[in-house]
Formats: sequence, C-alpha cells, structure tokens
Amino acid sequence: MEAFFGWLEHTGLSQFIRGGSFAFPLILTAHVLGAGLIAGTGAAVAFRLLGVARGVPAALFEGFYPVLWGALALNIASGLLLLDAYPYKAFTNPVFYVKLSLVASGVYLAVKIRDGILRAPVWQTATHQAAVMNPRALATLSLTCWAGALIAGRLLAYTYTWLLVGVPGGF
Amino acid sequence: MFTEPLYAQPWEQWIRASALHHFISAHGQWLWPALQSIHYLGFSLLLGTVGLFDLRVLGMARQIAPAKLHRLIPIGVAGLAVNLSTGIVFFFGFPEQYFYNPSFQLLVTFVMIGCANAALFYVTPAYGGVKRLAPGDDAPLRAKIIAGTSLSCWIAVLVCGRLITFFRPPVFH
Repeated sequence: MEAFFGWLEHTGLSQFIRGGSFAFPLILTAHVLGAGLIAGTGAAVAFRLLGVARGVPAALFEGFYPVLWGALALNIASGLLLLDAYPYKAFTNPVFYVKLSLVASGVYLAVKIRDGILRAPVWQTATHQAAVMNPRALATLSLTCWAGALIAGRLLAYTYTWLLVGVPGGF
Repeated sequence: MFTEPLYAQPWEQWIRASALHHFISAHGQWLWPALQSIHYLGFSLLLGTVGLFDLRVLGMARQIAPAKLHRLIPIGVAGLAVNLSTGIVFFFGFPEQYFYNPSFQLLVTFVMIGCANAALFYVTPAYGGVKRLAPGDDAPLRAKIIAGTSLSCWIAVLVCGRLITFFRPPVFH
C-alpha cells in the first residue's frame, strides 16, 4: 500500500496540487464551500421536519435538493483531487474513515427523507407515515451525520500522523 | 495601519495581557480544533438558512412562500452569533496573525457588507414586498439584488475564512 501511495504522490498531478501554487487553496476552498452547502441544506430539511418553518409544506423542500446534489458532485470532484495530493495522509488517519461513513450515512438519509417523507402522498402524512418512518428521528439522525461530517472533516487538519509517505505530521 | 510592525502595538499588548489570551495559550491544543469545528458548523447553518432564503428570492423552489421560509432565519442569525463569539476567541489567541492578514481583513469587510445588506433588506420596502409573495410568485428585482448580494457576501466570507491560513503575516509576535 505504501508503495502505491508513494507512487501516487510522485505523479505530476499530485505534485502540482501540492506545489504551493493556487491549486491547493482553491480546491480546498471549493471543498469547504461544498460541504457547507450540503450540510446546510440537509440541516434546513431536518429543521423543517423537527417543526421549524411548519408553514412550508415539507414536500416543497425537495426544491432545494439540487443544491445538495450539485454541492455533492463538487465535493466528490474536489475531494478526489485532495486525496490525489495527500493520499497517505488521509488513508492513515482513522478520522478520515469516520468522515466518509458520516457522509455516506447523511446521503442515504437525505434520499430516505426525500422518498419516504417529502414525496409521501398527503393522506399518508399523519398516521401511516408516523408508523413507517419517524420524521423526527430521521431528521435528528441526519443533523447528527452532517454536523459530525463537518467536525470530522475540520479535525482532519489536526489528527493526521503522516503528511506523505515517510514524512510524519507535525504533532 | 495594516502593515505588520515588528513589535506588538499597544492594542495587541492589551489583548496579550488578557485572561482570555492566557486561557487560549494554555488550552489551545484542544480548544483550537474544537472551536474551529464549531465555527464551521455555525457557518453552515448560515448557508442553510439565509442562503436558502436568498435562493428562494432569486427564484429557486418558487412554490415556497418566502414569508414561511423566513422562519429559518433566526437559526442562521444564531450561527452568525456563534461565529462572532468563536471568531473573537481566535482573534484573542493570535491577534497579529489575524489583524495583519489580508484574507482576514477582507473577511471582516464582507461580514460588514453582508450585515449592512441585511439591514437594508429589513428597513426598505424590499422585506414587505417579499413577505407578501404567494407560492409561485417571482420576487421584485430590488429584492433579488439584495438576495444576490447576500449570497455572494456570505460565500465570500467562507472563501476568505478558509484562505486565512495561506496569507499569514510573516512575523509571529
């Protein structure tokens, strides 16, 4: 594995992103903006299910899902580039796996909330829905996942043990 | 005023003598990552509430009545308050690293423009006009300009915030 990451770190694109130009700050900033949009939109839907802005029919929140999907696409792209720049740093940090799991759970919950609650026929909303899905429980789980993903992501900067193959982190 | 002098100025010496500065210096190892995480959460709340409201005024998810969606705004304001508090702690930790940092100077500028823009929204007839919009209605141009400015400002704040690290002034006092 080390050999593979070492090879990857020596490829042209990886070196270019790390090279101290505009590339790394730009990609990182895009990633942070995307994550803020994903978590923010997910949180807004969750707040609605928890009872804030009850005047807005929950179904209409699906209108903001393109923000979530667009930002997710941006973050898969920017995330892969960041991973290409520092693969060993990420894959040797347990917090990175925690973050990936939280993002995957958040995305799963976003789809479940859309299909099970936002798109539920009106006649289901009160009784049937409460039996099949608990909107409050899903909303709380979703909020937890997005908050956890942001926290884990931010903590990556403080928790890595290796910067590159053979180069320890400064902790 | 914004060029870094070699030695700490009186205002900086005052901060460095404060109890808050000493507390941060003593507990930075856990306090800094914790507050950075909270600072990021606070910002994403702003994006998810004020940002989505701005998007509705600009024409997205038009079936939502803006007056109803406006109920989310207090959560964003709370996020902003959290970020002001945590931001002050950061500033007290490394005052010169922020004060003489061009990215931080721009960040503060955008926060002030963002707040002034929000104030403009509420004191002009723009707010009343948006409040009266029914589901499906298009917002007046005046409100769209304010919403576009708002969204751009808060995104600029995030960009400047993330870039602070890359524009650190050379001298640590």
